[in-house]
Amino acid sequence: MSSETHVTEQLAAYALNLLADDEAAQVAAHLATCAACQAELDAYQEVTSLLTLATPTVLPPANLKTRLMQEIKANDDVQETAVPTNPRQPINWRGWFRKRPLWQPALALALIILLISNFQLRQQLDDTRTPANFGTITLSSETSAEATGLIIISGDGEYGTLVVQNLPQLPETQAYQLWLIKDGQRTSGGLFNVSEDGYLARIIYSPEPLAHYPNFGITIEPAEGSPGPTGNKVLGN
Amino acid sequence: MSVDYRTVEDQTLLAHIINRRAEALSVLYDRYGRLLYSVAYHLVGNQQLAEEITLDVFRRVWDKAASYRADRASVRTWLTSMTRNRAIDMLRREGVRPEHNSISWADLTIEPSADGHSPETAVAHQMQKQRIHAALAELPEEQQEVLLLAFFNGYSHSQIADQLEMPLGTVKTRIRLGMQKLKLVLQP
Repeated sequence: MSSETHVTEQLAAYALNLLADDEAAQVAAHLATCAACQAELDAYQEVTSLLTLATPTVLPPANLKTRLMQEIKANDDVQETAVPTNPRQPINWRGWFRKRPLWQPALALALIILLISNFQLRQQLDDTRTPANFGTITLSSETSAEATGLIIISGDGEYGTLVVQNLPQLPETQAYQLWLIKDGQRTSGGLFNVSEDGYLARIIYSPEPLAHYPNFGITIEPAEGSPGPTGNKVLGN
Repeated sequence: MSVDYRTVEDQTLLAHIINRRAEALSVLYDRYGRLLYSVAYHLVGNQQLAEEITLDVFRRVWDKAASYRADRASVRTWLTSMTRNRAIDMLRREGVRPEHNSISWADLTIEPSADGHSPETAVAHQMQKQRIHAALAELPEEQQEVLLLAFFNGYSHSQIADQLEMPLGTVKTRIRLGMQKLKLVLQP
């Protein structure tokens, strides 16, 4: 990447979470493909973290840890006992199946489904991985060859940034609405318009981690947005 | 043979957390619970919200410890970044503008913290705090002022400009110069 496009001057503010959404989105989009800027950002985040060490201590309520641990232990896959060496005993699969003959067809089916979905997932990841371990999803249009979009998802799957280009700017009475699609349900991911040159970059706020949504769509809606998509789809995956 | 989690490194604790060892999370909380709660509390200025943010960060650690990247940040940096980002997102999403925080850099503590770290780590933290104080004292007052609002109030550039009735460009420059200097002084 050429030095003209680096975001070095914004990295300190990015580490402190000072940037406006659109600025932060542009920085995030650049970081997804620039290891040098990512390394510089890591250094600023370390500085920010060092400053927190000197934060005056406020004691949390005594029951806060109890609340946390009760929540965690309500989860049935907690391992109560620590076993440092050889934590997993080898499983005698032949004996396991012999004791559970009725499960065999269901397990075989589940195994086939898992293998297929694993293969599909691996194909998607191969298509979308970038050097900084971000995931990306490309959005395209069925009606315009020029309009494209990109959703960049953070390495932990939590957050994301939407970048679109070559979309027509909408009048004030309308807005583009992003839809986060999961299990056939469409959740609004926010309203936006593009700049005069058809470009937009913004952070996506989602009720669940963004990686939980396999599909995304963008429609044209009234300026105040709609509870569900009503207009034509302009971009999707 | 069982593990005494209190004696293991932070990264090793995360490895045990990935294997769903609740006691490892308990020790991680002992080490960082106070710090993360304090960071959240000073940003949102509200005990209940600070509790929610702290719990949310540890839930996230429990569920997503595997996403930690040791090549990018220390465990402390990973945790404090999550906490600050959660708190600031909450302030902005709720449209809350925190009152001007009365805290100043001079209030930053250099007292040893009685948390769950080993004596060696506690000493290292203590030395780091002294370095932080010295580094901050070297900054010009105008850079200290903008960094204070950014750090403890979670203000955006434009909110700082409004608060101090100062051009946006001046705020950006002072933040950048201040952070550059801190990076230079504090980085090993």
